[in-house]
Amino acid sequence: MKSDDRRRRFVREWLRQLSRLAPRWRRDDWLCEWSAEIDASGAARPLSLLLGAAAHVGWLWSHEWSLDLIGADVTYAIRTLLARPAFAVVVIATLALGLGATTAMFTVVDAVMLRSLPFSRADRLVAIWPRVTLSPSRLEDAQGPRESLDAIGAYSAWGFTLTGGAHAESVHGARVTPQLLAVLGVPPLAGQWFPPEAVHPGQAPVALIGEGLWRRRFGGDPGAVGGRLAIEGVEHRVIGIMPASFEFPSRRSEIWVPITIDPGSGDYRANFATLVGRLHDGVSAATAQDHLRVYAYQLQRESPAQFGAGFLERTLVIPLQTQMVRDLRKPLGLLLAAVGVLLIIACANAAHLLLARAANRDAEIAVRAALGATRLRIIRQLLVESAILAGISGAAGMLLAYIIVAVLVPMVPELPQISRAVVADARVAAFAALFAAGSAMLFGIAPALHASGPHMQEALASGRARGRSSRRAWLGHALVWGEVSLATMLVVSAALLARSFVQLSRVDLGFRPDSILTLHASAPEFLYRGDDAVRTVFDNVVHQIQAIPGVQGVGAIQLLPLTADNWNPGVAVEGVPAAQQYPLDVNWRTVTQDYFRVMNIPARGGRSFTGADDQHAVQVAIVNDAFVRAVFHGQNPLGRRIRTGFEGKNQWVTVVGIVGDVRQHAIAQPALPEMYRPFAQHPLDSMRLMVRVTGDPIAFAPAVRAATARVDRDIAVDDLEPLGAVVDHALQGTRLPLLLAAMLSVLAMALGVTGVGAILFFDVTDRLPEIGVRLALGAPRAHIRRLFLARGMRLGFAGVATGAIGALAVAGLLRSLLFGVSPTDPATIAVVTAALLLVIAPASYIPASRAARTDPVKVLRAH
Amino acid sequence: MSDYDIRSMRKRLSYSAVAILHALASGDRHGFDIMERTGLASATVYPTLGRLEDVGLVTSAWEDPALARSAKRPARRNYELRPAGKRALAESLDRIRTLQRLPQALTPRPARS
Repeated sequence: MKSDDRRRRFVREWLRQLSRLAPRWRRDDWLCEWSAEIDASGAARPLSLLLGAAAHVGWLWSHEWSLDLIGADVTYAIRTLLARPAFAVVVIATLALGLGATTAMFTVVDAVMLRSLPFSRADRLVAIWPRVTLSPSRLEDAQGPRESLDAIGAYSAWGFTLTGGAHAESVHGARVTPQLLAVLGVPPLAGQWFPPEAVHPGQAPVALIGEGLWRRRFGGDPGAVGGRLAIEGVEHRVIGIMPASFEFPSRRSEIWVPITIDPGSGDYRANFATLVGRLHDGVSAATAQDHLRVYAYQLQRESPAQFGAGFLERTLVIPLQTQMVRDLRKPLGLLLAAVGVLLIIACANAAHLLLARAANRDAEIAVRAALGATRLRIIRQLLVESAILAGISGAAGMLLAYIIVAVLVPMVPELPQISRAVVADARVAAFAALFAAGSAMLFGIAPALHASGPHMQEALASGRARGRSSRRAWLGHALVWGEVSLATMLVVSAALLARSFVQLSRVDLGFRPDSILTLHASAPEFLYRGDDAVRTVFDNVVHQIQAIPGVQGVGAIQLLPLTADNWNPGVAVEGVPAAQQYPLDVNWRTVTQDYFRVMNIPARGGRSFTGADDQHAVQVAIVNDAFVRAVFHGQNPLGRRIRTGFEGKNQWVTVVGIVGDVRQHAIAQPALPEMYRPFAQHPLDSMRLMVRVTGDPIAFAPAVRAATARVDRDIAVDDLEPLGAVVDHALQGTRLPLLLAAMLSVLAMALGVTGVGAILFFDVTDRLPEIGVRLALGAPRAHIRRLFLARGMRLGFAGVATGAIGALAVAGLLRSLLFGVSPTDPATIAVVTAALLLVIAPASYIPASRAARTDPVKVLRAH
Repeated sequence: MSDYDIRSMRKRLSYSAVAILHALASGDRHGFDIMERTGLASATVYPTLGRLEDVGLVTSAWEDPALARSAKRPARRNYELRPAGKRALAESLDRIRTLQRLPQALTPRPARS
């Protein structure tokens, strides 16, 4: 009997302990029921009994969280949200904005930086610099597998003229080595790739065509493989069709022919190629670079004349992906960060709105708690509300992202070939969902934890349920403060980009782009063999165009300014020891005699090219200011003789003139040393014509086409556009980040400012009784207004100040995107700070004047 | 509880639920009596009772506290079948009896050629 009692006591004690784990509102019932059962049963088998009791507790909890109750939460939450539609709309809009912008940006960044190139195991592909002139022996050398590379392929981007059709068509493509396929690992859609012997001279000409060209030219006929295609008047056998995704080396490439290495041919251009390699498994690009530098060193030792100083340093191995997105990486990364900041601001805004609303719901929550709702139950309710808000915002954000991407991507010509695939996909959706869920937690849990705290009971008891605790007020203010700081940082960055853009558009390009029509004209090689034929045909073309009424002058150069394309050989000055020669490459251009006049490039000394500088005269060159500075160290170059790899063996050319610098590659990039050769002495069959006209350049396009066709229908003419458009395009690279940053900062500012307004508004509501008392005691209304205005401005000022400091702290990140303005430019920061405070002032004034309009009688009666 | 919930519960009526309903129908009123009659563990009996109460097959009431006090013991919780519970039990027993009438051994049918 005694042991029975002991056992009963033991079980009862454990039941009491267990009861603490039970849900509160079922606790007493549970304990009572089990005590009675033990009493009745005499507590036989106490352990299995306690296990049963524990299982019962577990069941009560699972019951507590069961789905039908969640369903009730959802219904209740929707009803609560619908009761205050304005609040719900503001929160959803805020979050949708943040999520939409983030998702859109992520989509673009994902497409550009994260997605692989459309080649097999693209992460193993590397570009090898510098470009080399292939010789038969070097080619063999380059093709063999090396210690760190499985295979090396070479290519040379090339423009082809398709003849034999109704009209000549200019098509982009490349001359490639057969090994390129092994490197890139993309099989042809139909047919086959080049056999290894295709590089040997004397082989029947063959070509691979792209899917687009196949559909255009052959109507998608499968019989096209084995068919004929006239390229530059030479019949080529089509041996294969490459898929549309094979955008190599550029998006527009549609024809590939083998590089043929003819030892007898002096055509250096044909063999000037870029190398692409595939790394061995487990070998990094850095290791491959070390290996190649050893090889470069050997080459340099063997033929120092050919591989001048600096060759070793210029030997680089860069991952292909990095190379292709090189210019976009940094701006996109920063924009992604900026968008992330916007998302944080949006979440903070939503959080403090929810927090403020939770304050107004204190009474409701206190009542629910008093009626037996557990803390967890209340938190769950608030979390469900947040999750619903986040869910709707997430969906709206996805829609917004889709729209932004659809509008934005066509505006970005710099997006590389992969950009076609920019669509919101599953991973992007997952990203958005993750963020939506994350933000739901972020802004749901703080108000939820607070609103359900133990102080609520006291709040109800003391009748202060409507008041906000100072801690929560502090949290709300901190959130708004953070918002304003982050918004300030974004606005400062955008302002810096804007100033940089203004500076860029003011840069002296070195030429006057207005009223110039530019076009690309190429004379088919099969019709115009040899320099004389090329000279004659371009002379004729220039004459014909010049005869068009309204044309003031025609000049030609082989490459358009403000593009990345380049011809850049090493240079040697006569009479200078090898060790003191300029170690780097110089830009090399061939121009017609009127080019400088048409482009308004100022002469600095010497003379311009004349008609007398023909093939029979002394070989001459004109150099730019940068060339004089870098190669001649500022000494007078006139009359000195120089030589490059493009001039042929032992062919010196005499410098006869100096012209101003031209931004040849990018607006932000200072001019490089550059030399010009007269077209008559160095004719090329593919030239960029510059036609200076009176009036709208593009209006002259038909006349120019007709004039060219009068010379020969087989001359391919394309890329007709005003030179001004080329300059615009070059500015685009800066315009896009600026545009995006401006958009982001306007959004951020709007959120920050409404944040200040909203928190002040809640402050006013919160302190209505106090305001009522003050007014009743005779405080002037202006005083009340000043009180709240000062509160808002203090908050705004604190945010703007920390934001300005933050902007200074991260200034370094922006530096590479800026041009002509320091990232810590005090004027910009001062102007932005002042402007922001000017915007915050009215946002504070509105709630402040509402406070001042308070009717003390009404307020005091209500409270 | 809605009709739908009861229907879905009845469809899912487990053996232990049937056994508990049966015990209640036989006059048991407390968890321990049910455990003794059915041989089920307490870990099964109490949650099942809760579930049955949720779907409206069973109802419970606390014993009159005065009565418990006079007997010097804690008040006990009495469980009782509701009409719906009786119907559900009858249906389940019917089903079980039907199943019992099936032949004991499974004889495979000869395949048709």
